[in-house]
Parts: sequence; C-alpha cells; structure tokens
Amino acid sequence: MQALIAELASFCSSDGLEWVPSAYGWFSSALPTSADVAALAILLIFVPLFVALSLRAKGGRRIALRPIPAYSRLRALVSQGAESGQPVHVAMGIGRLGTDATLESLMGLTIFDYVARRASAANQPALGTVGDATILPAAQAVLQQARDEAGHGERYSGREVQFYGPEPLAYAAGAYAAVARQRPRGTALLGRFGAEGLWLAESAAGLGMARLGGATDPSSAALLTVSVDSPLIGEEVFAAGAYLHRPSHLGSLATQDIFRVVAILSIVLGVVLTSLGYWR
Amino acid sequence: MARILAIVAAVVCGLLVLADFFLVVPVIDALGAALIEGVLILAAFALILGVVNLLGVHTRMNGSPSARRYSAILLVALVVTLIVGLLHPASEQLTWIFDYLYFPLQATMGALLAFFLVSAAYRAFKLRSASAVILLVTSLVVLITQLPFSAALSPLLPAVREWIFAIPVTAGVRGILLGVALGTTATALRVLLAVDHPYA
Repeated sequence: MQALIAELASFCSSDGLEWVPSAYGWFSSALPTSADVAALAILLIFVPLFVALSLRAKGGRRIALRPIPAYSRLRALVSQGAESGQPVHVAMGIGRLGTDATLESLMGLTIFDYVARRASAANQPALGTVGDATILPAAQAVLQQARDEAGHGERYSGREVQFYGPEPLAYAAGAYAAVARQRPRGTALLGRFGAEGLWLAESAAGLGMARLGGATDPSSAALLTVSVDSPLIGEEVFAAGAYLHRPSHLGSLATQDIFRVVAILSIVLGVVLTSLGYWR
Repeated sequence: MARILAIVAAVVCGLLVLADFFLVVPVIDALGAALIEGVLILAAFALILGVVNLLGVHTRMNGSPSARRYSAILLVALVVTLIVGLLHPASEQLTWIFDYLYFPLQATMGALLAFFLVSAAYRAFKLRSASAVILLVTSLVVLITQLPFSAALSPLLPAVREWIFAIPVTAGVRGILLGVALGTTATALRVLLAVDHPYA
C-alpha cells in the first residue's frame, strides 16, 4: 500500500500536480474563499434530502408531477410506433461522455432506454443516432439489454444505433439520411446539440414527422424551441426518467423542486432587502 | 455480474473525481488525473468502434438504389481519407481533401441553416397561443430596434432594446440556468448513488 501511494504521489508530481499543505489540512486551500464552499454546502444539504425523498417515493408515497407535453407526446408516439411497426428516432446529440455534456448525453440514453424497451416489448425496430463515439457502446448496450429482457435477444443488431462522425453537421446529415430512409414515427432530440439540432429538427419537419426535444444550453434551446412541436426547456431535460419509466428518479425531482423554491424565495428576499437598503 | 461491475466502477470513479474536486490529497489527485486521462484514451478507442459501426451500417445497406449509392460514396470517402491520412499525415494531399471537399460541404450545410431558421420562425410565429404572440411581438421589436436607423425613428427604441436584453431576456436565461444547475446536480447524484445507471 505504501509503495502504491508513493508511486501515485510520484505520478502526481510528474504530472505537474503538487500537494500544497494548507491551513485547512487536506481540504483545498481555495475552499474558504471560493464557490467551492457553496458547492459543498449545497451537496451536504442536497444528498440527505435526496436520499430521504427517494426513500419516500420508493415507499409508495405519491409525488405530484406537473404535465410536460413533450413526454406525453413521446409516450403516444412510442405506442403508435409499436402498433404501426415504425420506430421512434432518438437523436442523442454530439455530447461526449466524460465532458460537461455527460449528463445531457445520459438523458438522451434514458429516453433511448425507454423507447428501446417499448419497441423490444412489441418486437419492433428501434433507431438511435449518436454524434460521438463514446455514447455508441452505451446506447448499443441499452438496446441489447432491452431486447434480451423482452425475450427477443436474437433480434438485437448494433446497426440500429448509428454513429455519424464527430462533426456536428456531419452528424446532422447522417442522422437525417437515416430518418429519411426509415421514416420513423417521430424524432426525439435529447442530448448536447448546437445548430445541428435545428438542422435535424427542420429536416424532420420537412418529412412531416413529429418532433420533440430540447437542450440545456440557452442558445441551443432557443433554436430547438421554435423548431420542435413539443419543446423541453432547462431542467425538464433532466426529468426524462421520472416522467417516463423510472420512478426511482422521483425523489431527485422532488429535491430539485424544493431547491428551486428556496432559490426563488432567496432571490425575492434579496430584492426586498436590497430595495429597502438593508443589504448591499 | 457485468452490470454490477459496471455500476460499481462508475460509482467508485465518480466519487473519486468528486473527492479530487474538494480535497488536496496526492493519492486522490493522482487517481483523479489518471481517470480523466483514461477517459481520453477510451474516447479514442470508442472512435474505432464508431468507424466499425459506420462500416457495418453502410456495407449492409438495404434501401433504394440512391441510398446504396450514397453509402458507397461515404465508404469510398472514408477509406480514401483514412489511407491518405495514414500514409501521408499532415501532407498536401490530406489538406486538399479538407480544403476542397470537406470545408465546402460543411459550409453548404451551414448555409442551409439560414433557411431552416426562417422556416422554423415562420411556424413559431403563427399566432396559435399567447406565448406565440409574445414571441412574435418581442422578435419584431428586437428586429426593428437592431436596425441602424431605429434611433432616428425614435430615441426610445434603443432604450427599449436595452431593456428587453437586460431585464426579461437575462431573467429568463438565469431562470433556465438555475434549473439546469439543479437538474445537473440531481442527475449527477443519481449516477453517483447508483439510483440511475443508463450506461448498464
């Protein structure tokens, strides 16, 4: 163990990283003055609340959800697709796992998981497109598991998830070609998108296809909002699991809502205190 | 079993990188750096999988003759670029492929965005709901106030534009960002606590 630690420490210093002992011991010396304090405080409040509300949701306590039209539309499209034999195309975007786009890409995978499970249960085709190769094996694994669990493992083909180059517009062109070829029931765009999201959504509109989806980046979200029938805005993107097929996500959604209310109240309180001159 | 291993690996790696963010401990720093470096290596291998997938999809294309033709073009382009890149990296030939084939195609695709934007705006501006009316009115006001002669029409117009950007637009964007930050935290915790594991 000592040897391992020595080895790792030497790797650490060879990589330009040095342990600078601070007044705060093992904690980062930047802690008391930076946003890290806020991050740590939020985390320390968030985690117990998250665990408590998740256990409550797991115990069968009902958590009310406001309707989000995009998820209702997706459910309807998947049901119609299962009857007609047409897949629902899930575009998982150009986000790379391991970067700041990881969580958006995971939400794309969550939607694909839902669509793949429903398609597999009805023994129907599925169609997913990815613009970054790191999501490809994950999406293929999701589809394979869905096929296996539905008892149609032999039907699995890795080609139902298609990769079209790491360049955004190349991805959009390839995904459009796949959509034009297979004529799915609709297109769901969820993941990291830039202008290529508009390209893809408008191309799908040109084929008369239903479109839904969203992005977390405000400028990309603006483009998608005007282009899709049922947009997802901001944190709605992260609610996919709770609304579709993962009741275990309800606890985190409730925690999010509590924090949002606290943030709103804090903003209002700040405005009032600043306006009255009590806080500068 | 493989699924459990994947979940355990994801949770342990996630917690280590999170600890690396908050703590300054040589072992954790080194592990965090090694994990982040590992992601880059995995991404490079994933690209090979991507190329295999692309070949698999387009060599077994069952579609119209035109679809098969496009698949053939894609495969030829892939193979030629790969061979030129491997045999003559950073060569004039490779630069030629990018300068005279790839970039013009990309520019063409990019140029189409303007038309897509217009068609999307046309649909969005149809007055079907109160939000569509607000969108239309705000867009028209911003469009008019962006014009060079708007100040000559009325000195109030630039101030209106400033107000729209500074108050409603900023408030909306901050609201979205706040929600996204909370959603990101919740999603990250779901993954870290293995409540959510869409990768396995």
